Amino acid sequence: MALTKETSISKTEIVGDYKHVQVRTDTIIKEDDVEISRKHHRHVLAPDDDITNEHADVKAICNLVWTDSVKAAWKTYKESLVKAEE
Amino acid sequence: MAATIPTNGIVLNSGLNVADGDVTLASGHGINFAATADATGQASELLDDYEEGTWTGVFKSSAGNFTMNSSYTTGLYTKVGNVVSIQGYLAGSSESLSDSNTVLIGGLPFTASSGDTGYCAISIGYVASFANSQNYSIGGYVNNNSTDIQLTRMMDITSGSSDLRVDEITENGQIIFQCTYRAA
Repeated sequence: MALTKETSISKTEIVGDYKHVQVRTDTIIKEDDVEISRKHHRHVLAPDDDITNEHADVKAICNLVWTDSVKAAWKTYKESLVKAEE
Repeated sequence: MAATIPTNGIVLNSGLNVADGDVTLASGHGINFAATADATGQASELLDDYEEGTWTGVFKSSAGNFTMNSSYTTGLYTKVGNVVSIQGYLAGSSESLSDSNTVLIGGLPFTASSGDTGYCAISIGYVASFANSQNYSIGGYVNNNSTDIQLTRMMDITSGSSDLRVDEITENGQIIFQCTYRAA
């Protein structure tokens, strides 16, 4: 009986006004190559996030959809959220 | 090998009882409740998504992230349709951010929807190691178009609430909270 653990990206989605890239990573446990457990973990990437350590496929998607205009719009939106201390 | 019905589907007059296995739906499809009575202004009657999993939370400001206590960063989520429910128990460890910056919780598992309906309140059950000398209540809300929760001081000013600052959560701050919001 051999137990193995592997991770894989099971879903990538481009959502919202600012092209956030939602990434679902699955952790899969197999016994003799038969899947016995699968867990999802989610993270979301915004246009100003560091994608250095992301999977190559995720990087490719980010670089495709995060155009200069998208990045500029996201920067403007984020600045609008930073309110002056009252 | 499963049987394939190429056109028109099937009509069951006595319900459907699945003795074993799952009902698997193709992407973009779901369970249609169109036969039920509708509320005014309803936008969809298709239940087309369900998912459970984990997410990693972090305290942050516009200048960067806290270093988190690794024992307290993972929360759970459940998504039903376009509604996401999350819970988390987060604790910081250290930070070197500007004290006057507003502090947020980042890392939500799905981007919140846009417009005013994208904002959503959170419910907080516990905080610790906060620097709350004025004894105001702590609140928060999901920012629309984002994966962040803005933490707030409730009614600390005459007109309402204001944003919590980095120096008020402290580097070891802890929080237990839950939230339900609408995904983009």
